[in-house]
Amino acid sequence: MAASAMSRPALGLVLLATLAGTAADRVPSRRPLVLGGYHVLAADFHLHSSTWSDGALTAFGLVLEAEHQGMDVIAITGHNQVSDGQAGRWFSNHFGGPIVIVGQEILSPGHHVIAVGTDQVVDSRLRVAAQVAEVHAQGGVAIAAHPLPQFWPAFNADAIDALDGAEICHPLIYGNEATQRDFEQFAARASKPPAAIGSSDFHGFGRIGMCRTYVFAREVTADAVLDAIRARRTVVYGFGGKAYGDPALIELAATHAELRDAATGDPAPTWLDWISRTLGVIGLIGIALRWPGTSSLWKLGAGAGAARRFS
Amino acid sequence: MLSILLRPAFAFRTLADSAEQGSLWRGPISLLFVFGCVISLLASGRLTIRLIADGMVSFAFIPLFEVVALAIVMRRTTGAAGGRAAVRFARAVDLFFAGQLPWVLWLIVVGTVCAFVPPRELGPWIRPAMASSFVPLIWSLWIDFHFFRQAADPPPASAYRRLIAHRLMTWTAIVAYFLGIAIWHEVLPEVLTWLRLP
Repeated sequence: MAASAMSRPALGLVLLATLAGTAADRVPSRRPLVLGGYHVLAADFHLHSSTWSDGALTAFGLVLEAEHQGMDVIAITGHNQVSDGQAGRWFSNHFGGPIVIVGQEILSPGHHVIAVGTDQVVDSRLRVAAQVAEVHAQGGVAIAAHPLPQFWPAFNADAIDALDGAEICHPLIYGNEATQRDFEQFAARASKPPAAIGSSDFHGFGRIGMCRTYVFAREVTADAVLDAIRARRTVVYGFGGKAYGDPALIELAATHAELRDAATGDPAPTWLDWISRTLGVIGLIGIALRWPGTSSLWKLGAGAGAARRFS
Repeated sequence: MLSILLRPAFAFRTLADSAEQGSLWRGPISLLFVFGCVISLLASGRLTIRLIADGMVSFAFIPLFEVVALAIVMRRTTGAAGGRAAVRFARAVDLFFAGQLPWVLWLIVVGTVCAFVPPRELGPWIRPAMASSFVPLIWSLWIDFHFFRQAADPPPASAYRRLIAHRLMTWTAIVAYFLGIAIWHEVLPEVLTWLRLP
């Protein structure tokens, strides 16, 4: 009904754009990579769904999009809730896709902590150390989310040492290089360096896996991924391609340039992508020009000229 | 399009007087379709069936809340509007969604930026994009005021009341659903700080 109401040429352009985009929308084929006896898994531990967490995709959509962006592991981290992570894990278990670990972004007024591997909601009113203890009690790992200076006061020495990881790469670093230094300074405050974590904090803008963590896991399972974070077996590429994480693993990862390339570069758009985005935008403008419900204005000749003639 | 945007009183009067049949679904689905396309451009830089469908599902709550709120504020519209018969509800929904054009144009602009700017260079664009949402926010208020005057009730006071009631209901429901549980910890301290309250 809506389709018949829209401008047919404009709708045709959008359909063509959708065909081109869908044709370009392939799951990348990648051979499993094993280095030093570890499975190297591309992970993104900070994704938000559209259900109560101001994301743009459903939990199911996140799983499919992560698969199309070449992710092996994701954590869906609802704002102070875990239901969308559970929905995503159910979807992946039944229909395939990356390993989905249930998580939560614990939003407290003075700090944000990512809980990964928790099936119960962690109380956001607790102090950081108590939240981390609760995450550990559930068998999960705790990661400082985008640790900007305004969040530092909440992380005392005990709290920062209790963390399993801290985000060292986050899309914020691409808008402001100083943010990368802030994240480095935060991690340096710990007596034992937390695992380097790269996360896209995906709400809809950018790409899933734009900032990613290479996890060196003994097995391709959720438990092995959590174990790897606890053991600090991660490598992350930050601003300018600088590597963070376990020095021995950074050397191992350097033998495979495609790891750095995938983590630091935007995939080059194909010609199908260009067709899709160009025709798509033109088609959408066409749909707006003949917006459904306004056809009487056009029939009366009061469309584009109305403003002029009746002013 | 221009008359809805620039001369909404005239446009809604013309549309309300026309013999065009109303549809409960046409406006909401058209808006959702634009949402789906823009979400697809945001998330992948291309239009795909998968992402359009997912974006439509994700944002279905917006037209749903808007239609429910419209039904509530227009439930007493049984009389005449400016000497004309008040429009039927299906047609009112149609006309209301015709007035969503400022938001549609804003969505298309945001989608265009996200489609053509590489993801790692998007950072500086996001704050201006979010800030620019004040333009359709204010613009659509003006358009919706004329919608309520022409399609529901002519006295300005009545149109203002309906507009405020509709906005309060829809925006409260939309913000509560979209930001969900996080709202108390994220938004409330920001609002209190802004208002200089403890």
